[in-house]
Amino acid sequence: MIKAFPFKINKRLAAGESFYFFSLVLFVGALTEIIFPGLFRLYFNFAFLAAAWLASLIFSLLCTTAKK
Amino acid sequence: MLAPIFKIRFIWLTLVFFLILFLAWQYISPSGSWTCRQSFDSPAALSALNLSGASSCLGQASPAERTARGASGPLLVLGEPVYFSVFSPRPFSNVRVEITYRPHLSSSTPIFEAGFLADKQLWRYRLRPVYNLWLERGLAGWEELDSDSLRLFQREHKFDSVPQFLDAWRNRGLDFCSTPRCLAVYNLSLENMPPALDLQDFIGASSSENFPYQLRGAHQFYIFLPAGGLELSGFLTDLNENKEADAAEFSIFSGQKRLDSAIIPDSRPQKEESYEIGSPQAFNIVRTGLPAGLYRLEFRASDDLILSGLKINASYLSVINKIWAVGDGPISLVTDAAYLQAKALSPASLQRLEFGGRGLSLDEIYRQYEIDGKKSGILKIDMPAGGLILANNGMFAASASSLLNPDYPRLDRFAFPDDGFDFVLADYAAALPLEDSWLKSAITMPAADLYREDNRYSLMLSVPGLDAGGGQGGFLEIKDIEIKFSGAGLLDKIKDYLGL
Repeated sequence: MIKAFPFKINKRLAAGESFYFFSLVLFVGALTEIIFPGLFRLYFNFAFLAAAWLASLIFSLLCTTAKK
Repeated sequence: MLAPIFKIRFIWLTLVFFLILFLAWQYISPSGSWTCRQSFDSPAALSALNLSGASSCLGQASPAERTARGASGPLLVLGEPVYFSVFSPRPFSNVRVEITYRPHLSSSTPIFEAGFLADKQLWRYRLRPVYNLWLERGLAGWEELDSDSLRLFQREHKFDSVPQFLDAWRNRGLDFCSTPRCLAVYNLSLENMPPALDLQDFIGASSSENFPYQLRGAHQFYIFLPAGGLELSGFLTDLNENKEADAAEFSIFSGQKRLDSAIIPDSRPQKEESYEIGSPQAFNIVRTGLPAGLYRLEFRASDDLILSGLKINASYLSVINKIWAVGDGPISLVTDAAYLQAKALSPASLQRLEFGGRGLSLDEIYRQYEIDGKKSGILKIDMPAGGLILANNGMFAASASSLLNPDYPRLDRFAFPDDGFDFVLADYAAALPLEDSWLKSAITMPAADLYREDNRYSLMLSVPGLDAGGGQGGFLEIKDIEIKFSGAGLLDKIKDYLGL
């Protein structure tokens, strides 16, 4: 259980939701860059976001494997 | 009670919603302003690491070999020009650039200017003065009169104030001059001032000019139509080296006003990038209703197009500031500027040219060579073959009888001491001194018609004569660049839309 949240949440759920979150952020970033080139990159680093997305994917897969 | 999955999903969806809102807010810039600031005073290593992770609104200085960066020092500009790309989320109508710098310039590099790309095809930057060594320190032995940002320098006392000079100039032209081109100007709007030449003298002259050489790419011309109406003919040859279609456009201007234009579309059968040289395509442009007078003719085209056999019913035909004459045979031109810059883009163009009786050997491609004619008046340029891009702040023509320069001489780095001016009038705001001999200068200009690609403007810092390779002319230290864009805000747009 992760106790940092004001409610109880298990690791598997957190991993899955963080994966969805970073996926959506990357999607929004890519879409913004297509429509307004440079705007998203001005405030956010795609490399860091992609690394976080990959980490959340691995974490999520590990949690799924552990459950099995 | 909501399940944890809905709670956490609500939280991150809210975060993404605010992210989209933030990006939309930045794009719209509801206040109508946008500021981009880059400080070069932080340690270079830390800056290179870029801990924020985001890119900067001011791109890296390029070309990199013209700049240097100390361990904890400012940006050093060693050669010119230096370019930056400047991000702005949307177009704005005005821009103000504030530069904090320390100039280490010499009398061979007295002028530091900055500005934005206004026309990509003609590669024309709109420059404004940042620092001028002469105007900051005064011209030795000359009397200086100031009125707001206008500065008048006179070799001998003739006027008591700037308004008195302006009145005399506006009402009597340059009657007060002892020589024909006694006044040099710098950064002045001359729309309400008398022309540098009395054009009445030219009316009735013969009206046919043939330019004997081939010209590659975009060019601008001054022409004088003694009888009115325009008849222009020639040939266009497509080299098909670039991938874009190569339409050409002729525009005719009177002052800053565009009067007419003619587009010659690219309907040639050869494929782009095929390197198959097309057969010359003839064109003939006739425009009636133009009164006799001085006009600027603009030929807009990519470097793929060669203009040949140019024939025009004008009594003068001068190429403005830059000429790229091509062809295998010898080329002979004249210019009225005291210096010449030359550049070769291909090894076949490397050669030795003669300028005003002095020789200049071009041994490297892409390097800009420069020669000072050491005398004023009309100077001859002889080249064994074409292919060189020649540039200066004067006019080029095929013969002295075709040369017409209606512009006032500009105060440039070659202006002293030999050009024989008696007056120099400049619109120049002095730099603001800061601590440790740093200076701060600001330039402003309209931004609505500046060139913008992928949400970025192109900013140029120019110190003519500064040569990174030769180490000539000193260097500049740049501590900080702040660019403020301004324009209509969201409220103004809504008011406009509602007609309030």
